[in-house]
Amino acid sequence: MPLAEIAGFDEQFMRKLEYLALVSKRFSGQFKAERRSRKLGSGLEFADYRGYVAGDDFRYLDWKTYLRLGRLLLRLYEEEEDLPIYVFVDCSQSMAYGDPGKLEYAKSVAAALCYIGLANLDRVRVVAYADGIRSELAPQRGKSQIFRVFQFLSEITTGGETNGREAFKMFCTGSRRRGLAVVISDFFEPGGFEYGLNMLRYYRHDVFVLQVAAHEDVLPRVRGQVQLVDSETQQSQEMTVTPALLEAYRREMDRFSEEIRRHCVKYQLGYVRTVTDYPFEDLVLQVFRQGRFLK
Amino acid sequence: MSFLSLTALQAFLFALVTIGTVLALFFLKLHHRRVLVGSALLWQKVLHDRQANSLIEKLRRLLSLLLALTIALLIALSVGRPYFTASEAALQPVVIVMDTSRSMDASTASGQTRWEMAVEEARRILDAGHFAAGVMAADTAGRVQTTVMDDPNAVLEAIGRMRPFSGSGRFPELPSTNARTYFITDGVAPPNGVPADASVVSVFEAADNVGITAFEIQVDPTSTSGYTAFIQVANYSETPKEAAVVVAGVGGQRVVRGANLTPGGIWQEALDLAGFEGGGIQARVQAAGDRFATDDVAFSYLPVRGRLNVTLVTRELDGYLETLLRLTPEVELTITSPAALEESVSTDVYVFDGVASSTPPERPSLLFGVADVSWLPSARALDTEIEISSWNEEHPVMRFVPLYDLGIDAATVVDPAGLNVVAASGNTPLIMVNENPGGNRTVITTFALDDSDFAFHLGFPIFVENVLGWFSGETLAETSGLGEIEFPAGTVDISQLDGTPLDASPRAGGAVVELNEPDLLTATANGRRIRVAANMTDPESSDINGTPLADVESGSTPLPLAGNELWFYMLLAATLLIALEWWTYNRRITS
Repeated sequence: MPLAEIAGFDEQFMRKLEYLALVSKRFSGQFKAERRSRKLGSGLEFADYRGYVAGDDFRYLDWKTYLRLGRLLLRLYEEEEDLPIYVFVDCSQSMAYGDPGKLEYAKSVAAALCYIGLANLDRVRVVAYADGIRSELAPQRGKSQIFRVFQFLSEITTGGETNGREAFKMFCTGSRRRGLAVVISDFFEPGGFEYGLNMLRYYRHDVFVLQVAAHEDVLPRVRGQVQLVDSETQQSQEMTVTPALLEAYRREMDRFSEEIRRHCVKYQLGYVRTVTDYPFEDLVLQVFRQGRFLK
Repeated sequence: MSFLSLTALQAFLFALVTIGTVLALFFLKLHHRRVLVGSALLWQKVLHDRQANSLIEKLRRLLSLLLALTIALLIALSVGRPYFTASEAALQPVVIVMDTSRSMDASTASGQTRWEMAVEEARRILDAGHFAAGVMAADTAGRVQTTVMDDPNAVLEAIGRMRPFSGSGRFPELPSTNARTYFITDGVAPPNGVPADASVVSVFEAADNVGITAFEIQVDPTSTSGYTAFIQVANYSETPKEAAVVVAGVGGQRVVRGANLTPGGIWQEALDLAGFEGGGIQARVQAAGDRFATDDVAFSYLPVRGRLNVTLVTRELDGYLETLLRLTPEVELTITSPAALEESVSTDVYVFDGVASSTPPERPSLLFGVADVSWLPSARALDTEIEISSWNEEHPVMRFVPLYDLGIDAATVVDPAGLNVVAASGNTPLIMVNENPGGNRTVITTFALDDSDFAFHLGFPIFVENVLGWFSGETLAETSGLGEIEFPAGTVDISQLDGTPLDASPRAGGAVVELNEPDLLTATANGRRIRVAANMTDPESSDINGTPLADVESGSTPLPLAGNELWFYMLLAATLLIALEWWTYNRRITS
C-alpha cells in the first residue's frame, strides 16, 4: 500500500496534487516578476552594473565595457535562494467541528501547499499549533519529502484552546529565516486573532491567512431550546435558538470574517476564506491567484 | 353562559386540571438539548449583543407560557360548546313539527323513507342548535306533543315515538307566538294552520307509485254471482307502468289482470265475482319500482251465501216481488195469506206486502206499507206530495240503491219514534229500519208497492238483496279510510282479517281503533257482526308526488346554528395563537 494512503492521503488526492503542481508552474511564470529576489549574488541571471570598488571580485568585471568606455564596471547577478515556507495548521479542539472536520480540510490544503512548495524546491516547514506549538516538522526540501509531510500531517490530532499569540511568539523567538507563513485556522481565539498574526508580521514574515469555517459554523442547524457546549472550553450556554437569533449569528459570522479580511488588507496579508464543503483544489488555486505563494 | 351543564365548582375544577396539565407540559417542554459546537465564541457574542433585550427575553418565556395556557384553555373550553344566551334568537323556544301524513312512508331512491329522512333532519336541527329557551316537538297527527324541554335527547326520543298516520292532520298549537318553528314535511298533505313564519324543511323526493284508488264490492243483479268488484288503479309516477292486478278470495279464487298505465293514467274494471265464495276479498296491485306500499292492497267482504227461508205474506200475488224472491238464488220462498199466517221456526225472514201480523213477528221482517196494527207506528195522515228529499246511502239496506227518480203516489205519515229513517220526503218517513238492540230487525216502507214504481225501479232488487243480507247478518262490508275507525257503542271483539285482536279506545259513546295498514276488520256490536273494510283508496293520498315542495332542495332550510356558538371562534383563536406561538418562538422545531 502506498505511503500516502497509509498517511490518510489516497491516490486520488495524489493525482490532485500533481495537477496542482502543474498548474503552479504556469502561475509561477505569471508571478515571477513580482517575486524577484532582492539579494544580488552569484546567480546565473544578469541583474545590473555598478562601479568597481576596491575589494570586488575581478571575475565579475565586464572587460568588454572597459574596452569601449574605459570604465571598470562590475556585473551583478541575482542570487538564487530557496523560499522558506512555514505552514501553520491550527489543531485546537474547535478544528474538529464540522462534517467534514475543519482539521481534515486544513490538512488537505496544507498537504497540497507543501507538495507544491517542495516541487518548487522551496524549504517547507509544517507547524501544528493550538495553545502553543504542539508539533513541528523539520524543514523539508524536494518533492520526495512529501511523504514525510503526509506522515506528519496524519499524526496531528485536535486538542486544547487556540492561542495564536503564544504559539507564534514561541515560533518567532527561535532563529528563523523570513519566509512565507501560511496560517490555516478557524481563528476562533478568545484572545483575538490579531495578536498572533501581528507577531508573524513583526518578524517580517510574508503572511498568508487561510480562514477555514465548517458548514455548520456558517449555517448552524441548531433550533429550539438548546444547551450549547463549547468544544474547546466545555462551557455551556442555555438558549432558545430562534430564526432571529440564527440570523444574528450569521451576521456575526460574516462580521467576524470581514474583520479578519480587513485586518489582512490593512497589513497587506494574503487572505482567503473557505468553507469545508468547498473543493480544496479550487481553494489552492485561489491561493495561487493571490500571488504570494509562488515565485 | 352555559358550559356542559357543569356546576361552578365542577367548571372550576375542570379549568384547574387543564391549567395544571398545561403548566406541567410547559416545563417539560423547557428541556434543553445538549448541542456541541466548535466554538461558542460567536454565540456568546451574539447573546451579549442581545443582553439589552434580556427583559424582553424573559417576557418571551412568560408570554409563551401564557400563550400555551390560553391555547389549551380555549381548546378545552370549546369541547363544552359554550354559547351565549343573551341574544334574542337564543331566547326563542324551538318547535319541531313533524309531518306524520301517510305519504311520509314513501321510500326514496336511497332506500330511506321520507319519514326516516325527516327524523334525520330533526336530529340535525337538534344537534346543531342550543336551546336556552327550550325545544319541543309535535306531530301533525295530534298524538305526540312534548312540552318545552331543555333536553334535546328527550325531544328526539319523543320524535322516535311518532309514526306516519293515515288520518287527517292538523298543525299543533304552539307554546308561544315567538317560537322558532321548523316544519319537516314532504308537502304532499300539508295540514291547515301552518304559521307563515315557520321554516319548512323539505324531505320530498319524487317516488313512483301505482296504487289502488277504489275497491268496492257491489250488489249486481245482472251478475250471475249477484256481486261485482269494482277496482280502480292509478299511476302517480312520472313514467309509464305495467301493473298486475290480483283479486283473491279466501277460498283461493283468483282473478288476475294486467294494466298498462300512462303517467297519471287510470285503469279500472268491474270484475264478476262468480265462483268466489263469501268472505274477505283482497285486491293487490304490483308494479316495478313502486315506492309506496300502503295503497297497493285493499280489502272488501263478499257476503256468505246461505239458504234463507222467506215467507211472503200477501193478499194477492204481486208479480214483481214474488218473481224477484223466486229468482234470488239463496231464497227458499213460501207464500201465504195473512189469514193463514202461522209463525214457523223454519222461516228466517217475513216479507209483508201491504199487510202485517197482529203481533210482532219473531223473525226479521220487511214490510211494504204500514198496516193498522198495534206494533207498527200509527198512521197520522196520508202524504200524497212525495218528493224524495234524502236517503242514507251508508246504511246497509240502502247501499247502491238510488232513489232519484223513484215515483211514489202516496205514503203514510207516521211517527218514526225508535226507528231509523233511512229515506224521507221532507218530514214524511219513506223507509224506516228497526235496528234496536234486543229486537228483531225490521224494515218498513211507508208506501205500498202498488202506490209507487219502486218494484220497477233499478234499485229495487238491490234493496231487497240488501235487506235480506242485513237480516241474515251477511251484508257488504262497511268502508272506511285508514287511521281512526269508529265503531258503535257496545262493540266488542274487534279483530283483523288474520284474527289478531285490536284494542279499542272508548270515545263519544263508541269505540275507536287505529289502523295504519289496509285490513278487513270484524267486530261484534250488540250481538250482530260488523265488517269494516279499511283501505287507503284515496286518490289524493296516493298522489305522493303532488307537492309544492317538488322544486325545493331537501333539507335546505338554514339550521338554527347560531352566531351564539363560541366553540368555533375559540378553536379559531386557538389555531391562530398556535400559529403565532410557532412563528414567534419556534419551539416545536427540533430538527
